[in-house]
Amino acid sequence: MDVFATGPDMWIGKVGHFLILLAFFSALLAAVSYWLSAANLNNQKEFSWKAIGRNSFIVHCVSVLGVVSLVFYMMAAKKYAYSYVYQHASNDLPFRYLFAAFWEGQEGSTMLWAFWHVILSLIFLRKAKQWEAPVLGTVAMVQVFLVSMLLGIYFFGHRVGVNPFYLLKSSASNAPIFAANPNFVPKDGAGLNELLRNYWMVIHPPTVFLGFASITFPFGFALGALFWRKLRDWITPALPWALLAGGVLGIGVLMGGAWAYEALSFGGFWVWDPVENASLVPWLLIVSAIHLMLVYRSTGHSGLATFLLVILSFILVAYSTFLTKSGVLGEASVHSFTDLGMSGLLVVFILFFWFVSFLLLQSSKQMKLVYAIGSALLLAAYFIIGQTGYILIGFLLFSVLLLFATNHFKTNQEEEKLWSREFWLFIGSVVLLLSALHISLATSVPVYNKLFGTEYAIFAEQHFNAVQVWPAILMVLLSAFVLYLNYNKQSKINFAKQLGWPLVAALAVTILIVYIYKFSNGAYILLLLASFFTVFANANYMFTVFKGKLNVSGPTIAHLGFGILLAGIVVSQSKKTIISKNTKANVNVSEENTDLNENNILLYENEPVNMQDYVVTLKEDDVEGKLRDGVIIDFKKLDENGEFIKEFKLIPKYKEMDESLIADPAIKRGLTKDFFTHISLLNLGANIDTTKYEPLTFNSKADTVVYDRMIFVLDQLKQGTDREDIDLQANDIAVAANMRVITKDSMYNVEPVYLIRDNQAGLVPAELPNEKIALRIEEIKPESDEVVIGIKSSRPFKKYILLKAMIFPLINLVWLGSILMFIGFMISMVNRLQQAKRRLE
Amino acid sequence: MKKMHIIAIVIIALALAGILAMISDADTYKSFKQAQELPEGKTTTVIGELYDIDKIVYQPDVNPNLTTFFVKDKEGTVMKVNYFEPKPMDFERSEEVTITGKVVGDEFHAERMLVKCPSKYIDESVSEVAQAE
Repeated sequence: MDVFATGPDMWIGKVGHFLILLAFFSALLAAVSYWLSAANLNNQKEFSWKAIGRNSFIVHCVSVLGVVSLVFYMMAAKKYAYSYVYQHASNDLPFRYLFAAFWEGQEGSTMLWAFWHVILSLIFLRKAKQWEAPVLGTVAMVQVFLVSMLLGIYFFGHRVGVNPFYLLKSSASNAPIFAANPNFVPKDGAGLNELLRNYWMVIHPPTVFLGFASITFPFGFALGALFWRKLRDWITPALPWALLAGGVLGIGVLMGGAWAYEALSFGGFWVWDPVENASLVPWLLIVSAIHLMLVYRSTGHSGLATFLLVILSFILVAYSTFLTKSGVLGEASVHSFTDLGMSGLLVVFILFFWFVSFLLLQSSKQMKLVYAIGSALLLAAYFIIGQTGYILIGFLLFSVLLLFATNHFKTNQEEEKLWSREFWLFIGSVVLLLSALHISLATSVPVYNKLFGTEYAIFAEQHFNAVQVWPAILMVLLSAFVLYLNYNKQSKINFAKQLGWPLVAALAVTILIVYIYKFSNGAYILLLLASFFTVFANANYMFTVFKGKLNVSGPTIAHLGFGILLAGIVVSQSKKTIISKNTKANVNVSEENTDLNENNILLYENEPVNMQDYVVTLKEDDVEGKLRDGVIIDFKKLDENGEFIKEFKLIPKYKEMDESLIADPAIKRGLTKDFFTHISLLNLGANIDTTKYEPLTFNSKADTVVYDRMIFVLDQLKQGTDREDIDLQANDIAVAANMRVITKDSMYNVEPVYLIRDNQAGLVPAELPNEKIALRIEEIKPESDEVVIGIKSSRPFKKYILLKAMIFPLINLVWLGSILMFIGFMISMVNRLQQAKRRLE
Repeated sequence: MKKMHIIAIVIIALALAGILAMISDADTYKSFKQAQELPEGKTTTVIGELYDIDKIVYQPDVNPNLTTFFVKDKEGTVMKVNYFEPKPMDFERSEEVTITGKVVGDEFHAERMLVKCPSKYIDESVSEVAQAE
């Protein structure tokens, strides 16, 4: 790479490269110093190392902010000499999408993650006290890996990371233009993918990465606690961070769903795509970890499980990045990145933190040594015999089994009481863990294939739904009553008295929903019942126990929201209906197809079509040209007598790009259901020459050809003709084509004739004045069994679109539930922050 | 028996149920020949490439929910595929198609399809821009 290139904008790259290197080395120095400070706890070196750590960490923060600002500047200023700018920005890119363009690429999303670490660390630093060293030591170490993904330098022949300051001429050095003109700078960029020009692309990635970045903090606390063997003190200061992660990541995952629903036309907000799953799993784990932290703090039980879950949440965040950035999902997901040669680095990233965590989980020096030597032997074995898959699984198993074999968290305390809160919190965490493990394993099929050279197909949506419904039922059921129980003692809970009416109310609502939406799947009905039970039980708790006190009701609101969310998911996903059924289909040519899908319907301009209770019409544009980027679809609701009840219009948008259509669905939001419309094809302009015969080739034995909304069937060619308007003479040679013309409403028999009289060929057309078409035989090719039929059509052109219309019932419950859940997490976070403050005072 | 043991047994049972569900739903990618030998009506997944882009037929006038084309699987077998959806955008440019469905007679009926498109190669796009200027 040409770092010393000259040119007016070359300073950006030079400063940028320098800042990335500075960020890398300052993070490394900060990590080492902070951990040395932690190792020297309570002796004088603690503070000198901490000072070095803090100073270098601040240098790191400044340089990361510098890198981010520089990249942002060169994108805003459209410096196309730089590859990243060229690839993601363009002249027509509005400012609001500049952010989206910034994190469209891998480099950008890595920078976004590192940026959030910096911001959160600066907030953390203000009140960090003794936890500064291990927590920021951990963050700094994570930053070492993140920044190394931006280094783009060669290390023993392997390129490490992708640098956002690469020049276009070095990354596209094979493009012929650079051979001709090495100083070539394009005047426009390739720009942001049209599909990603969406406001969700502006807010969804930063939210998810903020969630990811906040998970690093509980992880840092846990490592520090293990390192110092202060096994329980860390929970209080770490809880607000875990709650922040739970709230933000949860809403971030859901934004992804809302985006998919609104713009990407997946047919719903959740399809168990590997990339969606990759962000859901860390959320399930951090939520499980939060519940265990509460148990551990108040009872001292489940210590090992708490540490493991906090560690696993972080590891699975790293694994999720691996899945999306390594290219391993290539054939399994539509929206993963392609490999930029970072998969090796990402694997090292994950294994490093796994190894450090499990090393610290071992209490005695001897066992630490055993674990380290065992791991080193496995590493050596990998370099000697390869077999990545087996060695990797061996390493993971070795870590876990050795830990359980030497579990130093074993306590001889009495068992939890059956009706104590911690017992059921623990059960809930296990259910969350099992759910996360299943999703994670089922999503990892492409990884497994790569490791073992197998060819397993990825699991279908149905598999995930069928399995995940069971942990979901358990989760909502537990959320219903766990708050009614007390910590540490056998609670005197009177189920009938306290939970009686919520159960009755839930039953009533469930029966109503089952009746309205005609549910028949037992598991879904059970899930609905459990969800509504948790909604009413938590509402009841809020008003009878908390008496509406907001500051402590975080968990209640979160559980209530969770119930609403799951009820919404069940109804909207399992009872979505496609109303654009192609019932009065155009003539079905291949009748042997039994499993026809009729989900899309052709809608011609001003030709109304019935869909459920609605009459749907494609309207003419109000003003010619005014609606160039959308079509107007009119929905009229009529009663049995055809009397008008109500009407609404939907305008699905589209853009035409490189001959392909990028459609943006239109949704009519209603309280109880959404109408969703999506166009996948449109033909708005005439493409038929009405003055000429268009030659179409038929097989002369028998053939069918479709042209201009009509079907032309050639049944046979025959000698002579039956037509009365042709008067055959003795020496004439006539060939006639027996044909049928099938239009939407009628069928006609026609017979164009090819006539040779006195060595002159005459083409006698057959005309259908009603349909404004004429046919004639243009040419007969006996050698190839073909006949060319010319068709002239001057039918008025009708615009048409191909429409898919769906109804999503009760989808508003999904959004309502997730917003309530987010609010619940935030209230809890504020409450725990105040608690932590009181502890310190 | 302690309460914890009962819980542990229940958890292990749940985990086993999950694993069993995964094993029973697990399926490897098949070639067309293997797909043909499956019991009738069994759904499977085949990876291949478009065989002849000129033979892609999609006639919305006739049936907007049917696209037919030919796919060559990794063993080189070519089979006609009926896909009961509109033709995906940029279908002709796809490098690889993953189709899920079943063999009916000598045709493959696909319910789902994943199309892998080449990401725009940077050298190429630079040349395009350069030409445009």
